[in-house]
Amino acid sequence: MPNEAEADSRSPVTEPVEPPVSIRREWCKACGICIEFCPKKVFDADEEGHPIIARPEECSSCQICEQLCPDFAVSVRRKRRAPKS
Amino acid sequence: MVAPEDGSGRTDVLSYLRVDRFPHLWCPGCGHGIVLGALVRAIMRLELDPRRVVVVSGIGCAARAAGYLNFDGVHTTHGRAIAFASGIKLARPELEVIVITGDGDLAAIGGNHFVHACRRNMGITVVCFNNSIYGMTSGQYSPMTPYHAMATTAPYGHIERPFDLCALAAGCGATYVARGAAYFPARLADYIAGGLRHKGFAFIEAVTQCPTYFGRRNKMPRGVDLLRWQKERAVPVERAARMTPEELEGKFTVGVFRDAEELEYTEEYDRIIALAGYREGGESGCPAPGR
Ligand SMILES: Cc1ncc(C[n+]2csc(CCOP(=O)(O)OP(=O)(O)O)c2C)c(N)n1
Ligand code: SF4
Ligand code: SF4
Repeated sequence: MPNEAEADSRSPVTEPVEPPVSIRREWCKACGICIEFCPKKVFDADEEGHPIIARPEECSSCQICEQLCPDFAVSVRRKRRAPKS
Repeated sequence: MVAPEDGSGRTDVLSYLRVDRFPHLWCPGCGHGIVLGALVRAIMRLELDPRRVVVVSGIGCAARAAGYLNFDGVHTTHGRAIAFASGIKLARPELEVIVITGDGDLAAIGGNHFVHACRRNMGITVVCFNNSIYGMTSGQYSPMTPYHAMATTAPYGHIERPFDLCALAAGCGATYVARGAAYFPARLADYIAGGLRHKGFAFIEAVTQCPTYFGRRNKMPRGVDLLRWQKERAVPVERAARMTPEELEGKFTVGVFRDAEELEYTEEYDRIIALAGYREGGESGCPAPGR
């Protein structure tokens, strides 16, 4: 969830949009799989190895991270029509 | 009740899982969660009625997956999941009976149940989470540990050759046989869905990873390393057909190896009941079941 202060500081031209991908940190075990295999390199690791959504605008909603996360900690909102999973 | 879509446009895998038990017990980077996710996506895609799905497992880290699935199920004894599943299917052939098993559970202690279930062609679906090792008991070699790999019980390298589980299943008569890998979760879900749709005995081997007890001893300590290994070693069966044995050295094939229609066991069994002349309340030569 983007916090409001952050959203307000953004340029007025780009609508503040919630990134399609979100992480449930309390289930994440910092295995690094999503960080390694995201084809768009959306994530960086924090000091503890948990993913941070560093480049949300790059996310193509491919759902590779969601399907590869062994801990069901990643979810990706689909873009319009559901692609064949 | 389970809903495949939650209306938000997000596919709701979580509604099939007992998330009150999360985070689950598997280690960081363990592939079992990925395979479980593929199984759930296959069930979702087929829109199976959750009230008609039964999950049966034995003992091991893989077997624990049954406890995270929001279906009726039985967590049985080591190696015996297929035996329990066969009983359930025989009593209630209309149920979708799914066995979740590890490579040790299936191919070591449970090997005899496995080969005979393949031979009988009873309509159950067996998904083997093959991580090449006994994870739960801390890394003893299994019948799937690769030649020369390290294990707690093979500290100088393993001297046995592993089974080709899919060739074994097909040779024993299983009518649907496929192999996928955790690194390719979408295709793995396809193979599992194919098995669930199939009428006879379906076997799906899911190559997965145990970073804790297999990876660490084999210079691939993280789940990421083992997934990369799967990515590099997996060869689609169609391409493998054009490759020499030398080129296939150290690789494993993925795809559907067998998808054949043959008489299914519970149908045969019904035929035998009819043949024996059993009729409800009638003057049969055979006593009614349970009497
Ligand atoms: C009759 C019996 N023998 C041995 C055991 C000990 N045991 C528990 S799990 C297991 C093997 C697990 O390996 P696998 O089936 O490959 O699953 P994983 O843990 O790797 O997912 C063994 C030998 C047991 N529980 N019961
Ligand atoms: S794949 Fe899942 S568990 Fe692993 S680091 Fe990413 S969110 Fe965390
Ligand atoms: S011991 Fe291996 S198989 Fe068991 S949870 Fe850990 S990584 Fe997974």
